[in-house]
Amino acid sequence: MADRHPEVLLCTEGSYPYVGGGVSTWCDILCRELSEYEFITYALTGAPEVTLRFELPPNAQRVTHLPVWGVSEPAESVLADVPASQLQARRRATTPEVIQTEFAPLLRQLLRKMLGRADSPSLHPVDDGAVMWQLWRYFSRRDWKLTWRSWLTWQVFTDSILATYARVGGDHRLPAETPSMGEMATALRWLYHYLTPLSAPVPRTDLVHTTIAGFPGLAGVIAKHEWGTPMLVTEHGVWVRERYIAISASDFSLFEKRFLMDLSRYIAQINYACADVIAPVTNFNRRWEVPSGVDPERIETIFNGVDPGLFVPRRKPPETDGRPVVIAAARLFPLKDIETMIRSAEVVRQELPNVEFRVYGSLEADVEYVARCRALISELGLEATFHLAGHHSNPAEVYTEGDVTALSSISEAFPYTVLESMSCARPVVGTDVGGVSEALDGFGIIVSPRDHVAFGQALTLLLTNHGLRTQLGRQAREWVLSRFRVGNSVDGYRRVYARLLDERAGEPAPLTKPLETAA
Amino acid sequence: MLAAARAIAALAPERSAEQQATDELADLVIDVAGTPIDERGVAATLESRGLRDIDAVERYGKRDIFDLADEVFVRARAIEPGEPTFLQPEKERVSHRSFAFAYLRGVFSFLPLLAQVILLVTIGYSQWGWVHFRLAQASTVALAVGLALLGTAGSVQVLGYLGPLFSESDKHTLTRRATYRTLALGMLVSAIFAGVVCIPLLATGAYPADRIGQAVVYDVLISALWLLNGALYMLKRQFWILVGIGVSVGVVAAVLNGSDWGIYAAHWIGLAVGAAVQLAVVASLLRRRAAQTPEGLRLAKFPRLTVLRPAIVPLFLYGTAYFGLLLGDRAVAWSAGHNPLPIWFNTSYELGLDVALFGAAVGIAFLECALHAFTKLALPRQDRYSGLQLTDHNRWYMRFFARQLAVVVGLVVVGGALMLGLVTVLHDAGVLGNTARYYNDPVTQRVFVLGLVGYGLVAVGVASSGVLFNLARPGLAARAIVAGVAVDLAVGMVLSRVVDFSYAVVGLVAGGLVFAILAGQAASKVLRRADYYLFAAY
Repeated sequence: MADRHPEVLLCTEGSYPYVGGGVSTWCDILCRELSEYEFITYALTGAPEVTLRFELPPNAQRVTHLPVWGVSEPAESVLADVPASQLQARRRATTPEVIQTEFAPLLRQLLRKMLGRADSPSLHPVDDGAVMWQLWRYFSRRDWKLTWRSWLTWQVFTDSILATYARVGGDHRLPAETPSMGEMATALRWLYHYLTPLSAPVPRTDLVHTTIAGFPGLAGVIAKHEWGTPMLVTEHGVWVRERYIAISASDFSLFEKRFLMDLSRYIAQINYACADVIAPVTNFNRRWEVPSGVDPERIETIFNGVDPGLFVPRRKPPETDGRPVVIAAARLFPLKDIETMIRSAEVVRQELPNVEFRVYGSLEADVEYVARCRALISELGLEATFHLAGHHSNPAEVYTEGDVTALSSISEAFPYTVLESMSCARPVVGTDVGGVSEALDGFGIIVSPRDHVAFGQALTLLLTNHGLRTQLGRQAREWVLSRFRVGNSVDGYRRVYARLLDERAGEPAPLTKPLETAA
Repeated sequence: MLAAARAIAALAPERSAEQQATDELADLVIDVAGTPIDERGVAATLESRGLRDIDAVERYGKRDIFDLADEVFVRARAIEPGEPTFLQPEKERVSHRSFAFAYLRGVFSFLPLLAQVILLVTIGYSQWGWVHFRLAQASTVALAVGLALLGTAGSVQVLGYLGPLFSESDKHTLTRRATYRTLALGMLVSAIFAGVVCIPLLATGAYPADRIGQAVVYDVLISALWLLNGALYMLKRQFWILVGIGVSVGVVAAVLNGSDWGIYAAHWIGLAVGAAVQLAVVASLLRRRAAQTPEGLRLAKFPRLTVLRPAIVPLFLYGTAYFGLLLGDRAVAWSAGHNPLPIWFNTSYELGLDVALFGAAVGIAFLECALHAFTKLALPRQDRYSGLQLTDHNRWYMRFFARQLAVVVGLVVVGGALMLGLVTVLHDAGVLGNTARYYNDPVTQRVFVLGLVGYGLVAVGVASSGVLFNLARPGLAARAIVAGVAVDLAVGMVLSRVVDFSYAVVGLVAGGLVFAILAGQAASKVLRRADYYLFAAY
């Protein structure tokens, strides 16, 4: 280890290095600051068509990209470098007998665990991660598409599902949850795509650090079982909670919702079970992690931090000087609840007719949502007040364009936008979600989520009370300087990395042996 | 749903203020997220609506949000959740007009061939035909047309698969690349076919060099035109196929009537100009659509051949074999006996088959409707059956398939009768001109009747193949039609040599029968487990 930098597999989903946002910023900071480590990014994205949004630092040049959707089989994406002859050999090796004897038992196990009751988590790395690891080993020799699309797989899957629903009411299932034929097909296709990490080679590293307790964390689960690699999970938002929110509000049928929730919960549990340390960015996350079966002893909060030398207090630029301006920095999608912010603008405008709201952030993340926001702006006649300003190339400049910063999210982790604004001595009006109140700690105003009147009133108060605004801004910056410097945050990870690597120095055996006998 | 729940609740014993507050939360959860799945889902939903632990304590007297969620969950689950998907009313009805359009699209696919016959009968020439051709000339052109159709059919079939594969996901840059690559492949394969047939003919002296030269020029031009027709069909711009034919024939007329360059020059210039116009249109359409590709999708990569191969190889074989089945008996018939050339065009035989084909086309055109019905009626049907109704579900698909076959057969019979009636009326009206003498020709009559049966069977096979394509089993369709071609050639070869050249048409009947049986069996087998094949296909 003395001859080379230790290697870290950094697992991401829909973020670094292809998408902007808080988690990506965090990844970028981590890679740059921990230059004594070599990072390999293991990035799951929705679509295969992606471009780098970050300039990769010299110690993080290697990226394994796994598109979950938009490809018909791994041979198009994660196995693109595997010669056609090898792929052909895998296809030949994937006979019905092989599927019957090797794959079907694993699929049955997976479904039995996944479709079990939500309140009976069996958190044991050998039991829970082993199925995934064995499936990964299977797919390192067999064909992904032939296996999943086989007759036998469909039989095992439908039998498992129907066995659950044949006992209507028995497993707390309502008759209305009984799946249609089409829904069962959809559900199995979901497994085909969501479990993409099981089709890809996992780079062998000294440590796995996943930024989400979700599908990319399966790489850590596999590495843990294959090589005994230590695993660290950093939860920004609580993934399973955010999945619950998104799935609950979707148009899916009851069966589809349950299936997706079962899958999400199971994947999160496996991540938790295999992680040596769970390091959320806010203490708020504990309240979801502990009921999921995580031992509180393994939770170690490491707050985010910002560079106070970069995010510095400045005077407002001439273009906004003399006009009350509210700034927000957020990608536009439903969890940010920009609609509440728009409605709050109407409240503020009643007191301050010349107020301006500027929301900086990608308009591409959810174009339908952006259209909804535009329609609401138009409906409320706020075209001259509320501006969706799109992406800004220099985040350090945006906060000082305004007087206060707004954050209206219905779900958050420990948002950079709050820390950055505080560092710029601009007080924040934020919703009481995730770690927002922990970050503000009284140096801003907290309101209930979705309460546009309270949100608007809080903004009005700060915009009209110069003294309070200045005082909160100054205190907020001091708070960041004392607690949320980027160095503090990075040192936290440096300590955990070192400890996990030290613990591993004795080369504990991978979990392979007990599993093989168990299997 | 909520109104009913509240009405029921109103009949229940009075509930405490705290319980009523929980009921309101249950209503809220159902409004936002429908019937909840579990307690955690309720907790997440409540948090997303702004409720915090402190609210759970102060407003609801609970320990925290999770404690509150447990109670809300019980209340919300007690409210009638509505029907499962398969019992809910169907979302949309499919209009009859859309089926009419699909049928017209099917009819349109025969237009390029039909146009040749109509033009020949009415004005005396077409894109590659001429009523004053001597038999040697007609044989040469027939050889070229056959080679062009055989050489390009596989590529046209592949294009029909690849084009929508990319364009339906807005990857129009890939559609453009796929189109150009497939057109190039088509020209290459056509050249190989021409080489395989013409070089031995030339080397053995069986065919005069000048005739081979003429055939090759026709072959190249008709191949280009045929491939471009395929591209326009794939791009759903069939109107430009008509324009191409119009331009082409206009040029033929201008050269033929305005110069002394002769029919070959007229045809070749006409075909070249028609192909050039169509190529310009295809290029323009592809360029415009590529420009409409969403920014992110411009980075889309062309899939590896190893990924595409399992689909495109059987499709290529199927397309080639399809024309092999349609044209094989002609080649067998025209090569029977001792003629001045190894392939000797026979008008009696050709006219019998042409009339039969246009009769069968009435049924074959319905296959576009079958495709439309599969997308609009059969695919959504999966959600009309519970997962526990496996047998009923698969039986519906079998019945759906059987109905389609019945309609195809019925339409072929109707089409045959219509064509017979039309030809009789035209004959009796004395408007058939030089071709009237074939009305009572026993060869023409025999070939028409047997040809109609043969094409009808081919139509049944194609309908079954359509099911196999829709369920991503092109290999089964390819196997069936290749077997059909083999039987067609074998039976035709024996009968045309032993009985009479015109009995080669029995080969078409036998080959069509084998194709219909094998494809029908495969389709039935697949549809008996429609649940699985529908999953695996998409």
